[in-house]
Amino acid sequence: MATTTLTAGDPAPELALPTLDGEQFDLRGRHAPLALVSFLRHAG
Amino acid sequence: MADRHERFRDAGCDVVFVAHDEAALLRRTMLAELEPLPFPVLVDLDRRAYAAWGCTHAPWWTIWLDPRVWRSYAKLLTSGEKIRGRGSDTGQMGGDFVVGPDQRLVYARPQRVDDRPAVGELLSVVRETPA
Repeated sequence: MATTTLTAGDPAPELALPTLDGEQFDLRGRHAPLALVSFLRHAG
Repeated sequence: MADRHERFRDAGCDVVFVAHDEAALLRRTMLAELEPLPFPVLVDLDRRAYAAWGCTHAPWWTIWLDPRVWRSYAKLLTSGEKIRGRGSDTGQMGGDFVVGPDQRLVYARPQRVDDRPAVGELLSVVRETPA
């Protein structure tokens, strides 16, 4: 899948994924008022 | 992690982490001894969210031949951090994003090398964004 470069002002892409425990999480409508979304690099 | 989470929560900001390895591997490595966690960790095995949010994949030489990477490891180790075991793909870059109340990004920082922003920088963004 091609990646895009997001910048401030862009709409946040969808983020609907299972948690570690398998529960479904959807960012939309669930955070208040701000959310920090941090994608991890798993390097040790 | 937990104390940093409190600082974001106090500033009116939820924290969500996304990882691309199986939950069992994450619990054995990156998250070992850290649970229970006060924030959700989402699992993106096919990395569609990584791609949608602009988190690219880097070839190994751009990471492991970069002296900044080794300096950051040295800094973490001397600060008491442990090596917890690597994941299935160390070339998958991450990124940090702050989403505003209108579902638009107020901050976007996809990682290109081992260059995560400092917690203080992220907290400043959060504190300066009108809720």
